[in-house]
Amino acid sequence: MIPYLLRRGAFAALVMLGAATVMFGIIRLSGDPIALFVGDAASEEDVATVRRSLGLDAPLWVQYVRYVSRIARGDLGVSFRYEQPVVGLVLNALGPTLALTALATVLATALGVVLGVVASVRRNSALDHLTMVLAVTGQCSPVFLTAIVAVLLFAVHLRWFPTSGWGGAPSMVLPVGTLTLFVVGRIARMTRAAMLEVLGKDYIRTAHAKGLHPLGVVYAHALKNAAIPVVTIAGATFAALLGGVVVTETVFGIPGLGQLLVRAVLVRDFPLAQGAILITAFLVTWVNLLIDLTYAVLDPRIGRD
Amino acid sequence: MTRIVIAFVAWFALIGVVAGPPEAVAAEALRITMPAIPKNLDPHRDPAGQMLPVYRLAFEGLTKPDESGRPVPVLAESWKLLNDTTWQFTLRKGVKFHDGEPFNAEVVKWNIDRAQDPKNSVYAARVKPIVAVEIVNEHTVTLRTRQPFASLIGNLMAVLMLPPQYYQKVGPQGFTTAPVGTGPFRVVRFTPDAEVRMERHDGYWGSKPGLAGVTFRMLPETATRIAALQAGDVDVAYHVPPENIEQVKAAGLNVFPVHIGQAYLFVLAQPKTTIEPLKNKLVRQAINYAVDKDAIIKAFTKGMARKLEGQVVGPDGFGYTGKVKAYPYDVAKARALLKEAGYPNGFKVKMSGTNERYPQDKEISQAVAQYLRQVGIEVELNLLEANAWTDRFLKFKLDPIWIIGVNYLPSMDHTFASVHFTNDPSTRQWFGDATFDELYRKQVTALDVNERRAALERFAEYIRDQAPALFLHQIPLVIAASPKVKGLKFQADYTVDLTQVQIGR
Repeated sequence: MIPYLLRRGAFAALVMLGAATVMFGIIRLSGDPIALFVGDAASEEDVATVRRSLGLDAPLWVQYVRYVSRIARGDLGVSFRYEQPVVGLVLNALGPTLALTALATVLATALGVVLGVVASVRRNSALDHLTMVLAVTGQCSPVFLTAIVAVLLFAVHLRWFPTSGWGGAPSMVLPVGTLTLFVVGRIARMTRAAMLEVLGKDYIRTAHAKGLHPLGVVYAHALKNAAIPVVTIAGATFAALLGGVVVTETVFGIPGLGQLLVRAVLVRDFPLAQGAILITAFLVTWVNLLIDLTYAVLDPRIGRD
Repeated sequence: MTRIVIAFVAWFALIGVVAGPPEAVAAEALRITMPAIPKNLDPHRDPAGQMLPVYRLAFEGLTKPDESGRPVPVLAESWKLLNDTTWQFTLRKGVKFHDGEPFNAEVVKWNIDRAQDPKNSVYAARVKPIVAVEIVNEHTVTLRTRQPFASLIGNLMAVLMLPPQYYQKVGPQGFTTAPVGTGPFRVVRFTPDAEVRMERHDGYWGSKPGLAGVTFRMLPETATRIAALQAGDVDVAYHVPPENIEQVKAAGLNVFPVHIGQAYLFVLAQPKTTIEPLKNKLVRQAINYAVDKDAIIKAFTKGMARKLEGQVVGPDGFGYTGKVKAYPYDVAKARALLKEAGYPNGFKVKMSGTNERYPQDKEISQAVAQYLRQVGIEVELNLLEANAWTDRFLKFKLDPIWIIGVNYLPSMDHTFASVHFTNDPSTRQWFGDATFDELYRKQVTALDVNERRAALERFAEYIRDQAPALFLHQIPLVIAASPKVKGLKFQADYTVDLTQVQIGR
């Protein structure tokens, strides 16, 4: 187990370096950040002064070497625009995003598994069709639209929750609900498909033949064996949401990681964009590692290799 | 995406889902929402000028603009000219920063020196002509300029005063999150990308505002800003797009169209070079005749914008003259001028428009291109994303005709022309015409207000005749507010005057 973890750790470091390098290159392709620093009235001389002060006058490879050596020392630099250390900015933004993502993933998984199991057990019944129609609808409705409709209905009309902001449980209901609705469909469908495959297996028929309680067969025998694809998709959903909740964050005015990254890219805040990507990459690699470790728990055969 | 939202919002408004705001409980702090709040709270570092509503509550300068753009004293009590290049300022006594640090001549010197460094300040160009700041005594300071410089008082509006001791103690990083100024409100909490919370500063030297505090909340999404206002989560919402105005009014909210000091232009001159057809004054005039500005204002701003009268500033800018009028929409005249200029069949030209840099810029760019095609000018329109525009602007790579929204704030005079149109080699030099430079030099060195106004009038007449740009309108800023808020006054520099504001119960 220890060598395995070390190997994975090294791999994670490599992935992060890759992500940092790609971001280093891509954000520089987006254009010159100086333009967004100086006013319209700046002279060429002013532009040169500012460029020098940000260290952007050095050749690209020099900037890259400086950047990587700083990362190695655990220094992500200072944001051009916020003028604060990147680590602090990213960690502050990470709080709301992690809470939003984790809550939505847990809720969607719980709900999705129940819906998926019910649909698979009552295959081709009206209940199955209804569940799947709902799942697909949630999955197909753009987050943007769901979010706005939720705000108008529950915040403006019914006044149950605040329209926006981040602080306290009431403010979390609408954004978490919106995200849950968006991802619950894929988990429900994946559960249903996995369950249908398992339910057709001989050992299920045997279990039924032994006279076990039908609920016990479904949840203890079938679901456990159908869990691996479900865990995979739940984990992947979590990882995808980490960097991808920008629309939800924008509509609800939540100061999260997605918004921070988009803003950093828009104003070409190189250190901030690079740092945000690096930390996201770090989280995603470790979430993936956790999922892989879960496989070993769910299916002991995997751990034995 | 926006259209879908508008459709939804309008639909909800139509079916009457939107109820009136509930009676408020004793809320004494004013809650304002804006699409963006400052990324850091150092007021010298924001290039957009749109964060002034936040900055001006916590910070003050030596002068500030009044409603007609004239500088009025704030931290300076008075000023006088000792000679053509020496200004003496008497500073207000008894002013203290929020942390108790006294405001004095040392503070003024430190701030002006700091503002002259482009690394610290986006306003460096405005205070560049100052060569020395001399401390006479604790409450008197002398400024020497390189040449007679009439814009000085106006330009000093941009230099908001920061406390040197506190700044040096906490450093730039500490200051950007916990700033200290002399204004009527002090920052108590700053959460980047979320909110700036301010409380009334009870030690304020001037008349104290009635409000207990002000909170600026960032809500980038238009639909959410309006929803938050309707639900009573905020009291004031900045930036309501023209297409949402009817819906906001229908919900019983007050709408304030503010003509901000930003001129919508398509510039017809190129920096450090001239492009052949546009070099001809008659062609530039023809372009101004060919475009129906009133129709553009009606179609794309719901009539909220104010037309520019053939000059760079509106009535809120110093140097505005009522004697100069906009070019009328006259297609026949445009064609005749093109013929006279030797282009009876028109010509081909490239134009840089933008997409989401300025309000309705894509639509307006396309409309302008279409109007020019009507008189035979075959326009190839390139729509640039906001940052791509800035890149090309700074590298002099925009097309021969190009869009710009020019802030003639916060100094509200012909700073724009000084920086962009004159032939001074240290500036960007778009126009560079000898008469133009001479007229500019005359107004900027005319230290008597009336003499300067007369000089600016001649300057404006010449600009109108030379037509270095296609003048459209002042970009409107539409603000919506709950009817409970009384006494709101919005100003042309984006700021809001809160001295008379009361929140009803």
